[in-house]
Amino acid sequence: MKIESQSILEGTGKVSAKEKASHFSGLLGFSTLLQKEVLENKTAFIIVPIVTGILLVVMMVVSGLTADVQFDSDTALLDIRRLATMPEDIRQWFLYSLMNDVTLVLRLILVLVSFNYVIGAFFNERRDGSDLFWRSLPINQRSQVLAKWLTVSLVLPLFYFFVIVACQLSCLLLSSLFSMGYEESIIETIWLSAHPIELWFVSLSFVLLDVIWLSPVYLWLLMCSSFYNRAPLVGALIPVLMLGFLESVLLDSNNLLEEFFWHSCPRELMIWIENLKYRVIPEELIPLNLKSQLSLVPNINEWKEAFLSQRLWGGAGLAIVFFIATVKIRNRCEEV
Amino acid sequence: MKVRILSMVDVVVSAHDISKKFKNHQALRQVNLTIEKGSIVGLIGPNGAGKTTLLKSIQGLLKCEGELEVLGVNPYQQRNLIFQDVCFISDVGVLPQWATCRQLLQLTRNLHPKFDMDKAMDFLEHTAIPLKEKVKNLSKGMKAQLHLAIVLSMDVELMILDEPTLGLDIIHRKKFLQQLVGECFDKSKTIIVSTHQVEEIEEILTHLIFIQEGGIKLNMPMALFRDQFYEVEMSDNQLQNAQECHPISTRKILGKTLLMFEGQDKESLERFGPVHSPSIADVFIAKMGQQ
Repeated sequence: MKIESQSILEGTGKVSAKEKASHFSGLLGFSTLLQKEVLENKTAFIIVPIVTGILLVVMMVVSGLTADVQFDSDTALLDIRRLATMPEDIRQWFLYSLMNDVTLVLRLILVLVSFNYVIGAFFNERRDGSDLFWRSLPINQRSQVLAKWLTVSLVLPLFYFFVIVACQLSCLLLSSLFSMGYEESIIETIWLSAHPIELWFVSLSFVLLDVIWLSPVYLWLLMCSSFYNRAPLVGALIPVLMLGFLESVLLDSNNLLEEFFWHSCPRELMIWIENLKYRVIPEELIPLNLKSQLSLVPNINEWKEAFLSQRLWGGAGLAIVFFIATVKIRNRCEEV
Repeated sequence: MKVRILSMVDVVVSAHDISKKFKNHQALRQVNLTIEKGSIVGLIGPNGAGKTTLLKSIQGLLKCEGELEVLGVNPYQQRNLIFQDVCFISDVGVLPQWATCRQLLQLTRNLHPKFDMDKAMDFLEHTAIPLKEKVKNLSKGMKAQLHLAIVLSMDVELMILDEPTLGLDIIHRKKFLQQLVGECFDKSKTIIVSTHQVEEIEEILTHLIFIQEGGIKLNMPMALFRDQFYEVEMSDNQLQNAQECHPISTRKILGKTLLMFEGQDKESLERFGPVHSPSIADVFIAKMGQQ
């Protein structure tokens, strides 16, 4: 009879160590790892977006109280009289642009916070020695890498998403408030044209899509964070720039650098950047560009298209390679 | 038939010819070692001797050549499993600085299946550590106490302490060791402790290991150690005769000559002069000087 066990508790009637390991590497352990990441980065994850959001709302209020409200992107609120004169589709596009403009700063902060977090995620723990403490607990490296990746890909964007929604809602509410007294219908001109619920739903869908879209760059940075003993950001960028340079010289193309840039950029920010070119069009020409502009308002069809794209899944394949490499590097532990 | 039921096994650490090389530096050289359950082992060695490398290998934090089993499994391959029954305190502050004491305890509770929160709270009640305070704001002594509270609240088989009192003043060192002994004595926990303050742990050790240049220079139970080494205080006219018994060291203190002998009968040495048992530190210096 072959009796082999790895449990020091075997024979005592208690739960085997393997069972307990699986339990603690399960839901409770994993959610604790996510909680740990949030607690560790509370300022950047929670305080910064909330304070920024509050400031944005204050600015909107000040703008509404002091400015002679103009219909352009420089003001945080809109002019219902001019809005009412526009066709429905243009109105929708303007409202979408406005809602995104007022929260652009939050999206940019999110990108900076994400990059700062992901490049220091393992590096900072190794540098301050706390990595040894976490390693001394029975948590496997796969869970640790997964937790950090999900934190930057999902948890962090969700925090910012809710603040963005709150700001956009405030923008619409304040616009409505400052439009009271005019004969145009607030409900029809603002709320029914903005389709906020639909936009937030699509926006949330893009947040979820970004989990996959951004994964190659985030996991590449996580890998560098666990690999380099100093300057992980430099270590992460140099190979990309060198390969990009080689591609440019040998193949006369810039695909790698372009893909690296776009895969660093959340989809909604991408759409905003692509949208920029229409901002330089004189206002009177806007109706001529109506069709192309309206296609830039994200919708669920665009989400579906992006979900089925080769670029998304090609990047996901690369992300899996980086994930495995990061776990292997973490398991080696030699650098610690 | 291969039978391995670890609860019945008394060997906690078993190392056969383990070696570890970092680039050009041989950190461990064919180390052979057996540590039994319930032992309190003192690992003594000069800086760079390989103590930390050995301790990290036992924890599975380093991959080494040779055969190493901790609690019956390969620690490097089964690190996740090992850390359910092994805990450690290292020479450097490893507690996350950003966390409050309470957060750290809660996180540990959720991440370690054998962590007893009530025990940790009881332990901390007898200290001046405020639970709301962030770790980074605690004094060095408090950090050591907090870490000790955490590891002592884990119902583990093996505790590894790598210079746990380094940097602490004498009051905190004594307190730390008292708490350690108070908690672990007679509880069949195995402890491996590496320290330079060897005289402070001398009385609690059951086994002693000297390590130098990656190799084990001495490995014996303390009970044997007491009968193995003697120091004789002698006059100059006895010196010539005593030298024939191959002392392992000779030193002079306040005009007296002290010779240390290994493996000699106490009775046979008494003819040279008063005999006493040397301290671990004295034997350590003598053995290191032999190399």
